[in-house]
Order: sequence, then structure tokens, then C-alpha cells
Amino acid sequence: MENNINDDNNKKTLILSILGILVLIIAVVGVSFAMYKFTGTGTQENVITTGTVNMSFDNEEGNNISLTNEYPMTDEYAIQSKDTHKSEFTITANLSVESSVAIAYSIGIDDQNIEEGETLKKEYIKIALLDDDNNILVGTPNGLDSQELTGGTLISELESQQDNLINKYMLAHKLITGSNTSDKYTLYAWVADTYNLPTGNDNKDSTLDENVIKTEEDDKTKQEKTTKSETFKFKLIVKAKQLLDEEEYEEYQQ
Amino acid sequence: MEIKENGQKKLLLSILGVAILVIAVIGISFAIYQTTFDQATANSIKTGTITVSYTEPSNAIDIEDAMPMSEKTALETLKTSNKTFDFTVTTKASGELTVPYEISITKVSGSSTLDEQYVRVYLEKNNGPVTLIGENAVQKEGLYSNLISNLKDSTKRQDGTKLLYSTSDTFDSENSTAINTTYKLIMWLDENYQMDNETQTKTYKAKVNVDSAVTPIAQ
Repeated sequence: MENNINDDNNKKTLILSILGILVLIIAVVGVSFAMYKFTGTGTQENVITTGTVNMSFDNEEGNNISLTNEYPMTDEYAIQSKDTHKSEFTITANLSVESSVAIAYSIGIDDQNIEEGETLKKEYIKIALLDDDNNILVGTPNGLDSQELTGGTLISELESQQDNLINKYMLAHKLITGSNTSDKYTLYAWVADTYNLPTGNDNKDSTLDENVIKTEEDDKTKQEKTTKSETFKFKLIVKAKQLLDEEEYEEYQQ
Repeated sequence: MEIKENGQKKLLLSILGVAILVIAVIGISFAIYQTTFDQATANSIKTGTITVSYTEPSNAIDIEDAMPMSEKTALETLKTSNKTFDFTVTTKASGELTVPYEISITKVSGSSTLDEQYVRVYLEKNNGPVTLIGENAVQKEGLYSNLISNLKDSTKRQDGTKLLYSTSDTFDSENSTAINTTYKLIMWLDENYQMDNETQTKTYKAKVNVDSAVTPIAQ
């Protein structure tokens, strides 16, 4: 009786094992040998190609302001002779996608690239910036909306001028939405008439005028005063940025 | 204890990882296109230099026992005897600039007892006579008292200083050589001076000044 029970169990185990192997074989073979098979491969490629933004700041060598033997001058004279102390530069932008992309750019003076003299500081350098249509971007116009330049602006007065791209000495900013844009600017700079030329010595003889040197030679007395040359240097900077949404766009338009 | 430290390290690393991820995502989101251009060559403004010097002889005019003289006699006599005051004004400037200067004369107060209406003044520039400031057809030429006292540029001289001559030297960008100008000052007693009943010697002492005030370029 007990032997019959063991035989039955062995048979059941054997049947289940065979059944399991069959199911496995059917599953594998069934996939491999489906009765109907369809494979559809797309013929149209969905493509995303990034657009291109190409900007340049073109300030030809030799077209920067490089003045020597300059003296303080009135705004009137500086403007009258402005062609002798100007720099022209162009900002171009080529956008591959028109209308959907807006680029904002700002022109400023790089604080890191201002080199002041001992006394010739930004409080004594005046500048003016005009665009290609003679709109006065920096400087004093002769009345509201006038395109007649009558004065410059001290660089020090621009220190608080800022926007989202330039946090100091911001001169101008613009939005570009067209595919090809070329903006030409003219920068003027001169020494303000409030600057006093410094002297090269500190000899202070109370009987003489300040910083006058007195020498005696061959029965003659010579009094002399010489000024000292100083240099002020600065570089422009252009920062550009793509605007991502309408909110940012409107913010720049204001 | 060690387990606790490991736990803290894992926590810190996790926070760091999340922070980097956030920065990366934000960074990508807000810098799709951003660029900066620097001007290649700096704009440069260099000021020029100005030098003005005044050289005078150590010994000034000293005429003892002066007698009234006509201009012709005075010039001949005093030049021959070297009783003149020769001085030089030198100017130099780099670049285009006009350097003006004024020559003036100041009476030494206290030690001058002679009335200045009897003092004659004559000035030569590079061996040629110059017209003194304040002269006109009516007034007698070279009379000290006719000179004007208000200096054009050197207004700081308020001590009765009188202007003799005003001029300027001009420099351009190609020529910055120093300009030396020699002057000869002659002073004498005017021929109209009356020597009657003079019991005491009278003197007149004066100093020559040179002032230059270069103002900002305006035209």
C-alpha cells in the first residue's frame, strides 16, 4: 500500500516536470516561430537641429582711441574736434532662427580694465556714445530727443548705470530679434576741463609758487614748473544673452 | 559611533549630489547662449606736459644818482652801461597747445619813495621794442603810472602789480621744442621830474614777475 503511494507521487512529479519543460519549449519556440509577424520601420526621421547664434564685436585694430599729448578741454571744443578722438565699433549678430529667438546685448566699460593715472581718474574722463543713427546713448543732448551732442558724461557718473548683464558703467543695451543685425557705434573720449595737470615735483618753497623749482647758476636765478604726464586707459565690454521666455523679453524691453 | 559617522557622510554626499544636479539643471536652463566680448585694445588717453620757466639775473637794476632823461638818452646810456634787467622766459609743451604768459612788475612797498608817475619803463623782446599794456596815444609811453594793474590771468596778484606785457607761445604736434624768449627791461627817471629843493634821495624798487595760466582748450 505504502509503495503504491510513493509510486503515485513520483509519477506526479515526473508529469509536472515534463509539463514544465513543454511549456518552456512552447514559449520559446512559439516566439521564434510565430505564425504571423509584422515589423514596421519608420521612414521619416524626426530631427532636432540646434539653431546657431553668431555674434561678434568688431573693433578694428588701430580704431580704438589712442591719444597722446592731450590737455583738458571744454565739451564744446571736444565735440567740435570730436573726429580726432573717436573709436568706431560694430556689433553683429547672425541668428539662424528669426522671430523665435531674441538676444539682448549690453555695452559697458569693464571695471577690471580701467587703468587710472595717479590723478587722471575716471572723474576726469568724459565720454559720449552714439549709434549709427546719431542717437545719443551716452552724453548730453541739446534738449529732449535732440541728436545734437553738446556734452560728454564723466565715466565716474556711469558707475551706477546697470542692467541685467552689466552691473557697472553700462553704456547702452539693445534687443536683437532679426536674423542678421549689424549695429555700428561711435565712442568719443576726452579729458574734462575740470582736470588740473599735476606737477612732477613736490618741492614746496613757501617763498615760491606751489611746486616751482628754484635753481641758481651763473649769477642767474631760474624758477621752473613742469607738469607731469598721466595716462588713463579703459576697455569696452559687450555681454550678450539669449532670452528664454516672454517674461524675460518684456523685462528687457522696458 | 562609526555607523553614525557613515550615515552623516552619506547624507552630506547626497545633499552635494542634489545640489550639483540642481546647479547643472539651472545652469543649462539659463545659459543657452551667453557670451562676453572684451575690446582687444584699450582706449588710451595720455596727457601732455607743459614747462614754463623764468630766469632772471641775480643783480637787478640799480641806478644810483639817477637824473631825469629823455627816452632816447636813457636807452642809449643805460644799454651801453649794462644797466638793464635782462631776463628769459622759456616755454615748452608737448602736442598742440598755446601757452600764454604775462610779464608784470610789482613795486616793493616800503622802500619805494619816488612817485611812480616819474618812473619810465621800457621793454624789449628778442631785441625789439614791445608795446606795453596800458599805453595809448594820449598817455605818455612807458610811464609806470599808466600801466594797468588788473592782470588778465594772474588775478592772484593783488599787491599793486602792474601788467607790462602779455603774450603766448604756440606749439603743434610736430614741434615741441622749447621756446626761449629774452626780454630787456629798462627803467629810468622821467625827463619831467623836477629836482628842485630835493634834500633827500628818493628810490623806486620793483620786481618783475612772469605768470602763466593755461586754461582748458576751448577753441
